[in-house]
Amino acid sequence: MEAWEIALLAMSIYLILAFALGLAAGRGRSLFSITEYAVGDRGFSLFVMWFLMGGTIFSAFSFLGGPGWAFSKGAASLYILAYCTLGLLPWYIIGPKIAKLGRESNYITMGDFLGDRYNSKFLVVIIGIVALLAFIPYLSLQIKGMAYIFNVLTYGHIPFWLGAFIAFGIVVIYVATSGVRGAAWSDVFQAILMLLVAWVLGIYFVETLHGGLGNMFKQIAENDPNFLTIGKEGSALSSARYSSNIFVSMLGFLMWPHLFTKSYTTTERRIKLTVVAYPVFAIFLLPVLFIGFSAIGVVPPDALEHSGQVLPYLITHHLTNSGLLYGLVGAGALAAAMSSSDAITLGASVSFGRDICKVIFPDMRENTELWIMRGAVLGVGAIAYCIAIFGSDGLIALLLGAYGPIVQLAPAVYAGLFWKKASTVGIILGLIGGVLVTIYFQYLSSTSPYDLHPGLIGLVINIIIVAVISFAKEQEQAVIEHASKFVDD
Amino acid sequence: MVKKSQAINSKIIFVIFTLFILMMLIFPVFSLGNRVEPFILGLPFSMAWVIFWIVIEFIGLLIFIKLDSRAEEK
Repeated sequence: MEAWEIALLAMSIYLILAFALGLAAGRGRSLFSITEYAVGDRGFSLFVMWFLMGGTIFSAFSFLGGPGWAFSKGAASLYILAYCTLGLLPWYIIGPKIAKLGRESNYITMGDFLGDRYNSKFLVVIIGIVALLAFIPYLSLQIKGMAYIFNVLTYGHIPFWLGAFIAFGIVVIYVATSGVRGAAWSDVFQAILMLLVAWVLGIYFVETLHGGLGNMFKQIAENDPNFLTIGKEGSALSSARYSSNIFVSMLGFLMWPHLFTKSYTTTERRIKLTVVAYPVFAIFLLPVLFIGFSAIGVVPPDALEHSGQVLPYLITHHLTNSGLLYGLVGAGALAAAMSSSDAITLGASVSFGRDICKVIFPDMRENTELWIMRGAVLGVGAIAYCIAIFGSDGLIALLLGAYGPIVQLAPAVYAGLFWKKASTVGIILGLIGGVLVTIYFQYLSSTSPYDLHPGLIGLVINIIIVAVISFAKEQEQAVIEHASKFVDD
Repeated sequence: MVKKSQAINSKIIFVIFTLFILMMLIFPVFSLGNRVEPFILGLPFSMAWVIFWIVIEFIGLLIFIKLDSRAEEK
């Protein structure tokens, strides 16, 4: 058997297992309950939570993009470790609160929570739309990742459209039938597989190409000492951009609607335990960076169209004599792309059903809402698939910018939980202002002040608007009283 | 009443802890770790610095959860 046939076999076995597990996860659970579909009856265990939060983050981006960053940007890739470590910390404080409010008032989305807190349907719809706009390009990127892996590892025997169709089709089916439980249990399997693959590959490449970590980094440092530092001449990122990237990613992390809603899937205690266990996941990410560093001096930079191809290049050029390893890699890379796409597909379908349809047609029956959600899995999936297969790279790059503004939801969430006087008008205008400013510095202006992350500048404007309007406008007693439901004294 | 203020105190300490770890990983404090040499276990110093603070964070979190469970038992 040739290497690509082994790879195809391994990927097929993996896909069958993931499919079976995703379907089995929903067995014996009610098919007719929204709480079950969207938040798993709020009862996930610590084990599942850890893999769910970890697997969702560990996307096609980290598997292909992580090595790419290390290869092309050097120490700037430490940013990935830093934000992965920091991103979940705020959850220790806000997660338990959101879980409790969610149980009491039966929330399943971010819009549910913010709409109730600020008593505004308009806000719910905005959040629903922002969520969908952010989800679809992100999903397209994952689908592209799956298609790419299939195509490269089988030497083009599986065409681009077919690889994506099979892998993502499986995701769509198990998410539509098993809901969040399907996503969660397949994430457990996928996360274990991809961590395993990342470590095997990291060690293999570092050892065979450089004879050890020490040697590898010494060589890199000798060739270009500033490659392994940040903000010096010849470094890829300025210190201001590096720092503000970490800060924005940390604050924005939990504002992703599909991560935010995981607060509803378990108990207060288990949320805290998940946060505690999470830094271990960041350490597990290390070999991903090692893979990228190991390519330096081995892969000629002009052999790649973009840095994300560095891992596939290493695999197809330096891993050819081991068919088994080769197959394992394919399965692991697919797992990485699939484990984030299932959570996002689910999140998008729930947002569409609850934050958009339910608000426009408030009299809808629970059953109808649930079937809209399941239908939305197919609809959103189809759109993302078409963009991934037929859209140009430029289109996807443009759309990806849509998730820059996610961090602008942070003031609404934090003020909602900690500041009674925050006014609804202020929050909505702040959100809109912040998003517009972010978009301006991201697309229209070629530089940003002090080279800061555009999202951070938007955030400052956002907070100023919220603060000024909230202080200027006298709040009615009833509004303050309603707010104190959400804010501890 | 005492219990409530205690809970809020521990939250404030947690926020300070979060900001502390953040500070260690971004500039200007990160300039202390932002160098290649000395190599630590084969890793450049900048990378070892980040990993070191991840480990510290993990230990800190373990202490927080321990204190938390003790407070809940009372």
